[in-house]
Amino acid sequence: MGSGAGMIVSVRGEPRFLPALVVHSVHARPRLSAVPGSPLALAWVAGKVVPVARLGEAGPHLVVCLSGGEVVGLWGVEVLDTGFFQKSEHGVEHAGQPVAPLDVALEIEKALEASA
Amino acid sequence: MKLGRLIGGLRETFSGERAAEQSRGVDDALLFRAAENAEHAAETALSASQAAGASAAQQRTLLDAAVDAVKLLFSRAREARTSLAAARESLEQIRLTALNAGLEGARLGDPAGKPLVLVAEDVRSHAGRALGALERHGALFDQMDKDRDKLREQVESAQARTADVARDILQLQAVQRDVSTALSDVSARVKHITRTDPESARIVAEAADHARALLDALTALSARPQNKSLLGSLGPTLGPLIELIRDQYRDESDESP
Repeated sequence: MGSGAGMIVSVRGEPRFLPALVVHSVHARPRLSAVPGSPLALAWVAGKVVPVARLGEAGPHLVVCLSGGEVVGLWGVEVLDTGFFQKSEHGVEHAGQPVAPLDVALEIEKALEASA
Repeated sequence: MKLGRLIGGLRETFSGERAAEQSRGVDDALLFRAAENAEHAAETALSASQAAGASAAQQRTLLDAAVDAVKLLFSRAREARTSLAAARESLEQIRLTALNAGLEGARLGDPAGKPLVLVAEDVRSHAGRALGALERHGALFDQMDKDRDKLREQVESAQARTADVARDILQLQAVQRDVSTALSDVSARVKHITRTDPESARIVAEAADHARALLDALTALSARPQNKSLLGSLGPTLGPLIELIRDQYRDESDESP
C-alpha cells in the first residue's frame, strides 16, 4: 500500500485522518461569532469570514477544510500530526494504530443535527 | 575578752536591745539607701524599656522593608509571567506554522514534499519540547506564588505582632515613668523625714553593712572551739575598733542623765 498525505486530528478524543487535499490550513482557535438561527458560527480567518462547525467540546485548533466546494472551519479539534502516513485497510496508520478518515460532510451534518 | 565585748556590743546594736533612738540613725540611712536604690532601679528599667522600644521600632522598619521586598517579588513574578505567556504564544504560533508547513509538504506529495514534512516535524518537535519546558516553568511559578503568599502572610503577621509589642512597650514606658516619678517623690520625702544628707546616709549604711558582716564572721569564728586562737589573733586588728566603740559607749553613758 502507498502513503496517505494529510493530517491526524483528534476529534472527541478519537484520532481521525484528514487528507491533505481536503484541508486548507490550520489556525489557532479564533474568536467565534454566533449566527442567530443557525448552529454554525462565524470566524475571521486570514482576512476572510469562514463558517465554523463545532465538532467537539475542546480543542486548540481550527482546521479550515473544503467540503462540497465550500470552505468550512472545524472547531473543537486538535491537530496531532501532519505528513505522510502508511495507508491501511480502513484509512492510515499513526503511531502503530489504524486511523479512520474523517468524513467532513458527515461531521458537519451531525453538527447541524445536534444543534437542531 | 575585748573581742567578746565587741561581739556582744554589735549584737546589742543589731538586735534592737539598745535604745530605739540609737538604732534609728542606721535605719534611716538604710531606708534612704533603699529609696535611692529603688529610684535607680526604676531609671534603669525605664532606660531598658526605651532601648527595647528603639529595637522594636528598628524591627518594624526591617519588617516594612521585608513587606516591600515581597511586593517587589510579586511585581517581578507578574512581569516574568507576562514574558512567559508571550514566549508560549510564540511557540504555539511556531507549532502552528510547522503544522501548516507539514500540510503543504504532504500536499506536494512524496518525494517532492518530503523534506518540507521532515523539517516541519523537526520544528514541531522542538517547539513541543520548549512548550513543555515552559509548562514546567509555569508550574514552578504557581508554586512560587503559593510560597510568596505564605511568606506575605507570615511577614504581615510578624509586622502586626511587632506593632503590638511596640504598643506594649510604650505602655510599659509610661508606667515606668510614673514609677520613677513616684520613687523620686518617696526619696525626697525620706530625705526630708530622716533629715539625713545623702553622703552621711551612704557612709552610715555602709558602716552598718560592714558591722553586720563583721558580726557574722566573728560569731562563726567564736562558734568553733579550735579557732579560739585565730579569734585572738584578730585582737591587734580589732583593738582600735573596740576602743572606738568603748569611747562611743562611754560618751553616751556620760551624756545620759
